[in-house]
This record gives sequence, structure tokens and C-alpha cells, in this order.
Amino acid sequence: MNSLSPLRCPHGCKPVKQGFKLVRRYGPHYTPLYECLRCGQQFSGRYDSVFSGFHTDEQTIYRVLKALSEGIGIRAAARIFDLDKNTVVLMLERAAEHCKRVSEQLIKNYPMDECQLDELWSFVKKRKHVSQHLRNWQPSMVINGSGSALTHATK
Amino acid sequence: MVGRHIQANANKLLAGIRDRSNGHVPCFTSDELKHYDAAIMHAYGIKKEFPRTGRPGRPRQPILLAPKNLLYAQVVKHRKRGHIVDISTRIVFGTKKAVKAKLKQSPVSRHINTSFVERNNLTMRHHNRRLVRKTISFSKKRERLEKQLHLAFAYYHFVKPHLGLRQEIMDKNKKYQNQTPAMFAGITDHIWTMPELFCRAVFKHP
Repeated sequence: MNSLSPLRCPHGCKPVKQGFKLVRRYGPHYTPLYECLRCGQQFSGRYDSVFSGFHTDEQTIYRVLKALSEGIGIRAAARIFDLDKNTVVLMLERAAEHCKRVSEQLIKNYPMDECQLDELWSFVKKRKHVSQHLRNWQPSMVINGSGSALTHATK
Repeated sequence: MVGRHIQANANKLLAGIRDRSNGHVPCFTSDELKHYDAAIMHAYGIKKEFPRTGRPGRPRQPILLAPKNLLYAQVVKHRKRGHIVDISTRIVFGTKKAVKAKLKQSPVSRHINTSFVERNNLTMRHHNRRLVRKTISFSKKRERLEKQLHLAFAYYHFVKPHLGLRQEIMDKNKKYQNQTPAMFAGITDHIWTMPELFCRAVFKHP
């Protein structure tokens, strides 16, 4: 498990291979503290990662994210893992941003031979004013983009 | 691609598919939504410009021509009082013969249909609380819906083993080798764990 190995120095040094030294582990979750061998400054292993800024331990965050991607709602996840709703939302946002980058990085130049197109109907709704309730009912369509293209082409 | 049911979004979807694939023109199948043919032409069409004739008047607008290897078939549902009574297919780009030959070549498809993507939609409805039908935990913000989908797609592609893709192996202890869609596509070589997905180096400022 290459958990929390630093990607780059937060102080602007160029990413070099093995340019970081593990100084010690700190805090309740034994977060690694690294030192950049180039500029000599120390920084947290959680810096610039999905976990930065959370007080929750990593295993719980993984479980929350797994729950969210297996079809559990935000509030339900918050109740299960004894977290605040806003914490779960923040985890989702961070993780989603990361997942988007991973997908963009990996899913490209895909040799696609067949492609099936379809839409998935869903809606986004927010009641701002009761009188404008119907006007705020925005039907939106989720078109399966890169995701479906990958799986069905492989099946 | 998340958005309303309009042509511009269909164009974006097809452009996204084109940019993520390796430039090979795939064989398209869809339902009868009218936006798709224009969107496919928008993404894969070859622009033909007309030379100026020298006569007065506005020059002729350039048109998009379908490339020769483009195949696109539609599934047409015939309904009677809301119930589907018959299903037929329609070839939009390409010839019937070419589509048939393509289906014969294909390792999975036997007929012109959209079953795989429908199944995928069902999986997505299953994996996202927001997409469940008749739920009250729908999204209140479009951005959140998009984010949830990014997470669920990454989980589906890299972490969750796909039962339809598992392969039989000759081993004493194990009967099947599980695979994720990304493994089958040759992108990764093993089933990722959650730490692998979330600790993967991606540069935020390229």
C-alpha cells in the first residue's frame, strides 16, 4: 500500500525521484511527515492529497468513499460513519476531483470498436421559492460519456 | 456528460468519445433520439468546402460528409398505446451489409441493440443514490451530481471487479480470475484497491 507518498514538494521544487525523506509520523493517525531533499523543508504526507484537511483517519475515508460509490446517500453515510454531513460532502468533492483526473489520465487513446449511445434521465431540483416550484424543476439528462464507452466496448 | 436533452450536449458527448478514443471510427448504435446523427456528423464528419464560383451572391456553405467507414444503426421502437409492440432497426450511415459484417466480427454483439449501455445505465442507477428512480435523495446541485458520477465511474472502472469479465482459469484453489473493466481494456494490470485509486499521482497543475 503506497499510502500517502508525496507527489511533489509544496514549496515548488521539481518532482524528482526519491526526493523526499520520511522524517517521522505524527498525530493520531500516524500521518507521515516528509522532508524535501532539495529545499530541506518539511511537509505533511496529506498535503495535496484527497485527505488534506480532514481529521478522519484514512481507512474511514476509504470506507465512506466506497459507500458513496456503492449507492449510499450522503446523509446515510454520515450517520453510518458518525461524521458530519458536510464532511462527507467535502470528501465526495475532493475524491471526485481526484477520480476525474485519474480517469482523464488513463482513459485516452482507447481502441473503441463499437459504441452504444443512450441517455440516462435524472433530475436536479431545488426549491427556492414555493411559488416558483414548478419553474425550478429542471429536468436534466445524464448522458453516459466516457464511462459507458469503456465498459460496453470491452464486454 | 451531464446536461439537458439538447443538441449541444449531444455534440459534446460525441466529441468526448472521439477525444478519448484512438481516432478509429467506431460502429455506433443508439435509440431514435434525433440529436445523435447530427452529433456523430459533428464529431466525425469530413468538412467539404465549395470553391467560389465567381458569380454574385453568397457562397455555398460548407457541408459535412460522412466518412466511408462510419457505421451508425438505430433501434426503432414501435409503440401502440404506450406499449412496445415491435422493434425494428434502421441504418443511418453505412450499408446494411457493412453493419452485418461488423456484428459478425464483434466478439459480443450479435444484433443491433443498445443492451450494453442500458445495462450500464442500470448499474449506474444502482451505484448512485442520486440516480435511483423515485428517490428523495436526488441532487440539489448539478455539480454534485457530476462529482458523484466521477467517483462512481472511477470506482466502477478501476476498483470493482466485473462479474461478466471474469475469466476461467485452471487452478486448484481458484476457479475464476476476477477482472475490472480497466484491466480488460488493458489500462491497468490488477484490481485496484481504494488507496491505490486515491493515492495515485496525478498532477494538479500540468
